[in-house]
Amino acid sequence: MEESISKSVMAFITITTVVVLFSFFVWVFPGFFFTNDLKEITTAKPYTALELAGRDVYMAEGCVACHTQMVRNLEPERKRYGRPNKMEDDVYEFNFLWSSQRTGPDLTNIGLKYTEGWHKQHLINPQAIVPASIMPQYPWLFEKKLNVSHVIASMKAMKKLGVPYTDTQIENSSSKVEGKTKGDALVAYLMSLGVDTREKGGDLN
Amino acid sequence: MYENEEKLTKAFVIAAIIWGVIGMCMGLMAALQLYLPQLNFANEYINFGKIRPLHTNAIIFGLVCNFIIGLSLYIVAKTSVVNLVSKGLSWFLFWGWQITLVIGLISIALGYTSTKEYAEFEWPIDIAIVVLWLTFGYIFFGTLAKRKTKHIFVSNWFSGGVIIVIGLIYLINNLAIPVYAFKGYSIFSGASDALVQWWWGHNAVGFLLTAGFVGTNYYFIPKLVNRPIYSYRLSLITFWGLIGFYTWAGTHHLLFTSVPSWIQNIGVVMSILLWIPSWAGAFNAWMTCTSNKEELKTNPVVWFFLSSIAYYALATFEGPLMAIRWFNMIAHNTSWVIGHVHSGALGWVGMTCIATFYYFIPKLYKKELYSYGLVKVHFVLAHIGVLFYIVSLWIGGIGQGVKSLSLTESGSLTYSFVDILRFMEPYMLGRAIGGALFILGMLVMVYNLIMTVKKPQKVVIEGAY
Repeated sequence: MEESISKSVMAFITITTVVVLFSFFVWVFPGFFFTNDLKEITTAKPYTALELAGRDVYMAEGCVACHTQMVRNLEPERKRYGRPNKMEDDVYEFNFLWSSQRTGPDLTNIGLKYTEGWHKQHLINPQAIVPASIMPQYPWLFEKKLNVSHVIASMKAMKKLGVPYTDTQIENSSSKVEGKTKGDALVAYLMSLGVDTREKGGDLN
Repeated sequence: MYENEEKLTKAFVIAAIIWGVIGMCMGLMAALQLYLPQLNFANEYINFGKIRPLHTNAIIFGLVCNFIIGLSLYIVAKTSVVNLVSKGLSWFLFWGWQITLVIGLISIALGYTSTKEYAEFEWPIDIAIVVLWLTFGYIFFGTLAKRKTKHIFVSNWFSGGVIIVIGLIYLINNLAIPVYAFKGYSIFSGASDALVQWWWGHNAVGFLLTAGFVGTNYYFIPKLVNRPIYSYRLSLITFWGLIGFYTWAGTHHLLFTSVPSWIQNIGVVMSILLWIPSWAGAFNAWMTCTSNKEELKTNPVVWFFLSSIAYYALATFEGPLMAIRWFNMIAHNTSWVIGHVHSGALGWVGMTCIATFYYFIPKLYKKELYSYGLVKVHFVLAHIGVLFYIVSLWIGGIGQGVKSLSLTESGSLTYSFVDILRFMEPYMLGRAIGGALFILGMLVMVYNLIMTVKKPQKVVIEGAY
């Protein structure tokens, strides 16, 4: 094999591809089939139009650079951030937002902790509430209006991907987001985090 | 015979340096923002959430990809003793890549991002990158197929491996349905998406940031020290080890998460196994690099290669360690990970790039290097910079991890989140200072190389006697 592979380009391409795809078939590919089973058992509900728009804002602003949404099942983590994620919680999370850095706190269950007013104030000026905070200020979010057609497109795309939105829900969505700012949407999204999956004794300290 | 190849390589190398300096400056900005949040300027386009992906993408797709594409095409042509298969396509690849990157970075600043790490570009950019990557593959393998030598030179194995693996994984990880222009949703959700993402994320490191440079080193180090590769057998072990194990190791990014634990454990085992080919490769490169004692004593460019190998050995030791559950519990989500990445990125990738630039750019322009003294200055700056960076984040990051998990005797949390933030403050500054010193060294290099290129042409009188 050594002989042919160092002499034939086709042999090289074929063997390398096969070796590489081995890992794909063992642990990446099976993941594609989790979804249907998970949908059966999940308590997660699809986001409302405003929450979904807020999730898009969360993605666009790069919040994942500093905030995880993955509570590991370790005692100190449960104490600090609440109920750990289960696989079925994230079944409607098209683009998972677990992130890999906790420069800021985990947000998996943040919807159970603060009020809408707190979030708005905190987004506009985090240092006014937590003086040691190194979070950027996001005042412009509350000046810019949502693009209604984009929100509808997002819902339609989610429906295509298997999120159980009804056509009426999508039709009605424009009235729900009309005139709202990006900040309003982001606050609605944050307030929704952890609410559906809430369990007894799983609240934040 | 190689006029076009040389011209093309010059273009790629210069682009790599420019993107490298831009990307590092963005990294410095990000580091400073973590120390002084006022530097976010409450601005929509340059706050940390935008700067961080701009930094990683400018480095990975700007510095690293330009370096790998440019040099692997040069090496494949030279070692195959033929011209590249298509001149037109090779220039399409060059300009296409730069334009795509500029549009991609602007789109991230505007908020069009998939948020998946090192795959932030949205679907139109992804399509462009896949087309360009296929072009790269066609030129590379096309050239290799018409080679005049019997065997495929070892550098080309690594470059070929990079092309195949990155092409496949980039494509699969970015499968998305378009929502509107520059916005798409991944076709995978939750845990499935996480698995696909870290299959990509870890291989972006393993192939773009590792195998590509291992390949170019097998060409440039023997040239520089004027000695053959120490062991062909070890290079084989490195190659099959990287190809065989690397693609399995990605799930160590998902330990203790909600993905099934058997998948997590595959990542742990394979990450530890990866230690073998990594150190086999490091040993081989080290022995090659130190085989010419005279060069080793006098030539600071050799020192850069040596230290890049040392950092490679360090990072590939630390990596398997961090994949072990017990360490991962502390390291996960902390700045220790950032420190680890940069001992690889600044230490291994950075020093390799620097050494290659110092050796190869004078050769490409047929000039003598302007100043070896300045190379020594750069050597000192780069190393103090990296040390400041890594040590700061070892202390800051490990402290962050331990404090986050610490419980009092009564079972409550010992430290609040704000306590941990305050603890990390000096180390965030230390890291930024390290990054600044590294960039200063890069600027010394840029000056040195510009002066080299501007020097009057060496007078070569062929057949004068």
